Amino acid sequence: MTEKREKMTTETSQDTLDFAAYGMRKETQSQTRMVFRQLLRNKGAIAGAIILMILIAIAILAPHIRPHDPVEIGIDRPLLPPNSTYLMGTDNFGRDVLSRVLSGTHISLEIGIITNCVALAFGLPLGLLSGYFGKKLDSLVVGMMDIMLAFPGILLAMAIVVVIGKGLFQTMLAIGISWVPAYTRLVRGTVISVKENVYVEAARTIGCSTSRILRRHVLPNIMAPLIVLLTLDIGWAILTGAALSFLGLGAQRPTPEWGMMVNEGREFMRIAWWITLFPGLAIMVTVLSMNLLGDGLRDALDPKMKID
Amino acid sequence: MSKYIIRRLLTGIPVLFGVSVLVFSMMHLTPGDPVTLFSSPGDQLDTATILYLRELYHLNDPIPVQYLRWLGNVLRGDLGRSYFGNRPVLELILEQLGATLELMAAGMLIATILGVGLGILAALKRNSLMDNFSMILALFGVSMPTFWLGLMMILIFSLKLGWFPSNGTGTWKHLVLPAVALGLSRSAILARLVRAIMSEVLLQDYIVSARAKGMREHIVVLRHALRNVLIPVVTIVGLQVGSLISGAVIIETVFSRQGLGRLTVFSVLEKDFTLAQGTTLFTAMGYLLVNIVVDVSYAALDPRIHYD
Repeated sequence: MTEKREKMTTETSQDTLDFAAYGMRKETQSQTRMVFRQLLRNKGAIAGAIILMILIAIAILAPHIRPHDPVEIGIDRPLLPPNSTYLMGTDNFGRDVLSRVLSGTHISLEIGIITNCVALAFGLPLGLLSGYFGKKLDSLVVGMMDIMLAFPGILLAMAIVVVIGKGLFQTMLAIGISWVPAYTRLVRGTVISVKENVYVEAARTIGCSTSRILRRHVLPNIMAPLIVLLTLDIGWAILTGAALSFLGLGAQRPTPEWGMMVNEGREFMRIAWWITLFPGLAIMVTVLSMNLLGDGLRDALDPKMKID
Repeated sequence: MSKYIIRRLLTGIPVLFGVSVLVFSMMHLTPGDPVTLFSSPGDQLDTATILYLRELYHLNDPIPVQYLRWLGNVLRGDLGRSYFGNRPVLELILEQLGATLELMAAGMLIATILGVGLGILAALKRNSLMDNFSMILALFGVSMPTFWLGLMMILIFSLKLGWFPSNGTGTWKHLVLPAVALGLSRSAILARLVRAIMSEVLLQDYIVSARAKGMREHIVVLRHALRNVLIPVVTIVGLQVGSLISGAVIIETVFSRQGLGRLTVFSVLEKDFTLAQGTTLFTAMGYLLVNIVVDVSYAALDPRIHYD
């Protein structure tokens, strides 16, 4: 009887907390609306979102809208300057630069998204667990991340490429792994402050399981900085992926990847600047859109992090 | 202070140990027989040769024994021999180090002058034309791929105008374009951060009272604001070293300059494993030391900070 009553009390408490969580969700919904409204007021963020939507549309529609086959070699038309048939000219193999730039959109967006998913897949659980449990696990995770952070920027990704080999997929994996520390640190730091909140303490007191606390109470409250980091990092990942392909470690021929296209145009720059110019511009516009949107999201979601 | 320096150096030891373990593990994490990593990629090895090489490189020993032997060699300055030219790896690294340090120093100087200058000007004239211009410039700067910026500079200033050489190392003229390309993108990040810090400093009470006393604006800015901006700026500049190393890897390739970055790229592309291992370890250790120096410099620069 006593056991039954205890069980009922626990269930009632969990219901109360769930009700509180429902209230929080309602509040979150109105917060989301507020963030959205604030985002709409930010001209830069709107410009970034519009450019990004256009890029996504191009990535999806590229096979239908590109004027020529991006990998078709034209021995009769190498190094043609921009003209009415080939709007961005042709490269040394006679391939249409515009078609290659359009086809490269989905590759760059994929690099940005997949690398961040890899980093998130490792960084989120590591940061959550080390931040929540602390003690030895935390010291271990922090130590591991410090070791990874001892490799500056692109160097860790390059070291991983040495181990797993060259290629587009390998590059995504390498950049993703090298960015695990950034996510782990951010999540860990936020969890450490969130876990001290009264609602987490209350959930713990009524006997909620750790996984339930992490899923229902901690995770939703660390989403804001995570979304900001994700948006800004997609731009960085695109830049790093393009840099690795430029160095010859990422995408391989004849894939129309922008970084590699810039590299291919290097030796013809004196006579055919267009091969280098347009893919580089495409990278810049894509990263710019992510930065604009990321800055806007940061200002809307977390005004404390606002840079300007 | 000296206690803090010793403590900071001691905390670096486990990270150094971790870095060495990670770099050593590269050999065993790479798929295939490790013996193939010490021979030219084109070499066809028969079983007898493989057995002989395994014995020669002590690859039959337990992994911890192999690690300790490798670490002992590293501590004696023996990073192995590159199969390319069969030269000691450390000798190759030291040969290239000077050019990289020169490029990094020049790049950092340009980044600091431009970034700090633009950031301060923007903060002093908030929401003015100058402010908007510098922030738009900074946004484009962070979104632009360094390798593409370098190539565009070659196109304009070398190939079209003929002002500077497009590649090579030696004279100051060879350094201008690579250093500007490296410094420009880093100055964009600095400008945004300096603007934010300066804006905050300008709102402090001591600035208000300095102005209230009737001090001239340039004295308020130079004597009161700038001094307080310098400490976080030194930290940020220090933290940019990692980004400068990554940038140097790319810029040295773009401008076909000698340097550690180009050597690293070469080792990865040519699958010279010993060289890749050596350059990775050397760069990570150097970066770690710089981080320790930056940490220690806080205490030296800011008398308010006590490390007890």
